[in-house]
Amino acid sequence: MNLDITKPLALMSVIIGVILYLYGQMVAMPFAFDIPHGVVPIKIDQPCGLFYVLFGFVVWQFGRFSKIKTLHAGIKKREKELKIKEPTEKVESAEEIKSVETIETNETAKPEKSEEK
Amino acid sequence: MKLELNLVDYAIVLIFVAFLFYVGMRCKQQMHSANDFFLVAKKLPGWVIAASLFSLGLTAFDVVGLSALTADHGILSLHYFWMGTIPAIAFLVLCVIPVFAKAQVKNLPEYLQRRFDSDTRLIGAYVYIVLVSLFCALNLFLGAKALAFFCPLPQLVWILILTLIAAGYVVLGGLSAAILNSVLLVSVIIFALTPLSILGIAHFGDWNKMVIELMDKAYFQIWKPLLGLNSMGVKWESIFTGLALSMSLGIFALDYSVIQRIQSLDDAQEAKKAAITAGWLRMFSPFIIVFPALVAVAAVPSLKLFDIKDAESGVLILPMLMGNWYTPGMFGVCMAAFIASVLCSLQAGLMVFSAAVFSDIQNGTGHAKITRAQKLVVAGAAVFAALALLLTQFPDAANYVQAVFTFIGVPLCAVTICGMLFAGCTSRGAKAGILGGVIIAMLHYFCSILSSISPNLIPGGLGSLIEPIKGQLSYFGFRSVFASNLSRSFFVFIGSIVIALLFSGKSKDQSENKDLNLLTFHISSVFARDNRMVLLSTIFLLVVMILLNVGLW
Repeated sequence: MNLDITKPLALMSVIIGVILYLYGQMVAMPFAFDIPHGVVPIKIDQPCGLFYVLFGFVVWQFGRFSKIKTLHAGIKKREKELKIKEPTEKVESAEEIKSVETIETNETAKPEKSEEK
Repeated sequence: MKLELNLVDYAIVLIFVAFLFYVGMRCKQQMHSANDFFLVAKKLPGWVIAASLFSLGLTAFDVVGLSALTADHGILSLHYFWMGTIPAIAFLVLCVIPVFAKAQVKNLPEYLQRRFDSDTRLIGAYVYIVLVSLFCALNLFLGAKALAFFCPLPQLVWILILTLIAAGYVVLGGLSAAILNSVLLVSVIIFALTPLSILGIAHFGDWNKMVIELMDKAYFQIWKPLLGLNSMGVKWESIFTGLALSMSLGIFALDYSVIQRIQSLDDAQEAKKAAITAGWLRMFSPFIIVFPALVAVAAVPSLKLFDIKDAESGVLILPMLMGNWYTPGMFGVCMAAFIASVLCSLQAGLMVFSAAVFSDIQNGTGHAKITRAQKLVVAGAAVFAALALLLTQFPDAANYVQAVFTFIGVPLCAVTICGMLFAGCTSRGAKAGILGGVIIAMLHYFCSILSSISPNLIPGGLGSLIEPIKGQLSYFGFRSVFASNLSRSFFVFIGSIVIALLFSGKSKDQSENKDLNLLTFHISSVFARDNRMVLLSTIFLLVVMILLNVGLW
């Protein structure tokens, strides 16, 4: 399945959040909310709308982050399968360079052999 | 007084429903056979499974029903969230998931077939179909009641609308759509309920102010009221024996839809982590369900009362608070949240119904046409809607559904656990255990009726005969239906296990079951090296639950 649920979730939150915020800003009237030492006027749509928009952005970023993380994990797994050393690692000795070269040549030589057959 | 809904409210609800259908449409692209419909095609992230498990605890029964329970009995309702779930999650993580992963079992009836025989599988499938139909009907009934408060359509219309939405996207996307949409449903419910809690804190200033406002200290105690007479009519030991031991295992640890979701993760460790995450979410969900209900009860004198009969029964306590503290715009989010709470149970129920009929009763193969599975979903939706309409005639429907669960769900759950824990349990024992459990439940029910009946109502000289028996049956004189259900479930649970073991002679089929080692629980798996983190997390979960219970003693 190709669907990443974070995108619909983020999009839905942002759309609902924007509608709520704009409605609260333009149309809604404040209502008197009782607190322990008095009454405050509140437009509940505005803070809720802002929170939803913020939540949507956070979820969108989380989706991107987890996608990149999954891709990296896949690359690392493949590298491990192919026995390729990570490019960041320093190849110190001449023997290690030789061993990496032989692995790479083996990997490229395999299909040629099969073609010859 | 009626709520004034605006166009913006309907727009928000429509956007929410449109996204549900969008997810269903996207999942449809990958559907080619019945196998794709009933299984998740690609591995889903653990957090999605955790959210979908959590969504099973945010149904209309939890949001509407348990907030009503809070309004009536105070924080005694917390037992449902803590004792009624957390021990079951611990059992799921430490016992059920390892066994199912080791044996590569995909659902509960399949386990029953491999552990016992095909007859037990068939019994299991029928039991799950009956239970899931009743539970979904109850959710439809409660959800429609809450939604009728916002939008004054008849309950019948709401039941049909909700059924159509759930059936619509489940038909399109199958189990994948049901699991993925759980994330949207959970988020909308949290969006709608969390501001109520925050406004509640702002309204009262602190916890003590709210306690003073209610003038009832017992309303904020979780165990002390159970030591004596209490409004719920439950004794403290029933919470351990009835709720934590027997009922919760069937409701959460051995629930068909829980196993369906857990098994969509290939990795057992991931599945355990998802279950523990769902446990944490469940433990703190009272903040958005129980707390707003307490706030509503405490704030009632200052609220504008709505002219509604059900306000007394507490079913509309949350919608009433929303009606007072929210304005148009947020009303739309609230409507979406109540729709979501019904869909949480409906989508799970439709998948259980269709999967049980398809694979366990019709013996369908994974390569069958997808339309066959889709037709079963539609049939399930029709059954749920018809039952919901029937339940509208019974105001005390939740207690009846719970009673039915103690009659047929608990014996099946007990036998499954018996098969998991005791290698000596055979198929003959399993069938005897289920039958014995049902008979014990009937006897218990008969005794509780007999102990409460007045001898004057009995014709002839039978009344005088019953009087001495009534004295002997004083134990069964329960103060509430819930207390009676808890007691019955414990008797049935223990009785089924004892009968299953007694009737399990050394039979031929048992010695021939090569999978027996895979299908039974081994204590060594709990203390295995790779299970240490899971074990510690589960213990931590239980410890926090105990501390919370002690804190609100």
